[in-house]
Amino acid sequence: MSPPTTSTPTTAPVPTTTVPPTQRTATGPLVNYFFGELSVTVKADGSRITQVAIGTLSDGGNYRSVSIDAMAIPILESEAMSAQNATIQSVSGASYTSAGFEQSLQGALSKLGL
Amino acid sequence: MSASAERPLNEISKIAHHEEDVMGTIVTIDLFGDPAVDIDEITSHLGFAISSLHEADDVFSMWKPSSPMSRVSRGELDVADAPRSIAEVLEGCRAARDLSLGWFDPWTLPGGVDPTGYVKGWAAQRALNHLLAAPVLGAIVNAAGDIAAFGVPLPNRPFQVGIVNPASTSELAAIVRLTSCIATSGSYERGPHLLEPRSGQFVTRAASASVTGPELGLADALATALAVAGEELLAVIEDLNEYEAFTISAEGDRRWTKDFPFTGLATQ
Repeated sequence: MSPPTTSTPTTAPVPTTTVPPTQRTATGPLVNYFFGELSVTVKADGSRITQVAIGTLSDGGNYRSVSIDAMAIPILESEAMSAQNATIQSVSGASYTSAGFEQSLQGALSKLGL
Repeated sequence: MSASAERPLNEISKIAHHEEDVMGTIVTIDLFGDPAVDIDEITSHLGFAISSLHEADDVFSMWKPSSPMSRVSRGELDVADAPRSIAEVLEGCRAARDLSLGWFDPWTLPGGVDPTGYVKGWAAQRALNHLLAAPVLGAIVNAAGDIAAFGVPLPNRPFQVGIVNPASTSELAAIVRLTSCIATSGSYERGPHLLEPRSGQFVTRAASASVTGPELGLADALATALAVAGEELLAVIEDLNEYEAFTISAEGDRRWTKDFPFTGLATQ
C-alpha cells in the first residue's frame, strides 16, 4: 500500500528511501519573565518545528499571572509555527507575550540548530 | 507546504523585522519591499514608530501607578491637564461604548476607567502611521495579536493573517485577508477577566472573537465586547459599515458577519 501523499510538485518525483523521522527535543534556558520564571521546550522533526511549549513555569502566585498561565502563552506557539507558514505574514490571537518566552525559545531553537 | 529548501514566499520581500518589548508585551513590526532600499532611511522611520509605542506605554500603562492615565483614573489628574492623547483615547472609548451598545465600557471596570482594551490597538495603529512615509511596499504592526497593516507584502498580493484556534493553540482556525486592521480577544486571553458591564459579572461567551476594520482601537474594543456579548453584538457589527467579525465558541461553533474577509482557507 503506497504511503499517503501530500501536495506533489510538478517535477518528476525523486525516489526516496524511507527513513525514520528525526525527532528531537530541546529546552531553552530558564529565564525571568514578568511574573516568575519559564523555559520553552521545542520539538522538531528534522528541520520542521512541530511543537513549541512551556517546559517549566513558575510565578509569584500573582492573580494576573494565573490568567497568563491559563491560556495566553500558548498563542506564542502558533506564532513560532507561523514563521514556517508561507501563506501568512502574521498571527492574530489573544496573547500576553513576554521577552522571557522569546529568549528561552531562541535558546531552544539554537540547541536544535534551527 | 513549499519544498523545505526554499524560503517561504513571505520572507522574500521582508526587509525588516523588529521586536520591541513594550506595553507589557512584545510588539513586532515587519516591513516589506525592495531589499535594495536604503536601510538607514528604514531605520529612521522604524525609530519613530518604536518611540511612539514607548510614549503610549508611559502615558497609558495602568501597571504604572504614576502614569498620567493611572492618575486620571484615580481622579488625581484632570483630563484637561493630562497629555492630549488621553482625551483622544477616552473619546475613542466613548465612541466604542456607543457602537458596542455598552458591551465595551471601560468606565465600569473596578478601580476607575481603564482604556487598555482600546489603547493597545490605538497605539499599534499610531506606530504604523509613523511608517507611512517609509520607502516600503507594506508594513505590519502586531501588538499581542492586535494587528494594523498598510500596503502589501508583495506586489498584487494582500497581507494574510492567521487566527489562532482557541481549542488548539498551535493551529490556525482561519486565514484572513488583511487590508487594514484585525483584533482578537477571547476567554483564553485573560481567563476570567472579561467583565460584562451590565451584570458586573465576569463572563466569557466566546473562546475567540476577531474584528476587522479601519481603526484598530475600535476593533480592539469591539473584539473585547464581542467575546462577552456573543450573538447580539455580532448582529450589531453586521450592520456596522467597514467592520466585520468572526467568533469561535468554547464548543468550537463558528459565526461570522457576511463579509468577514476569509481567504477561503482553513475555515472548518
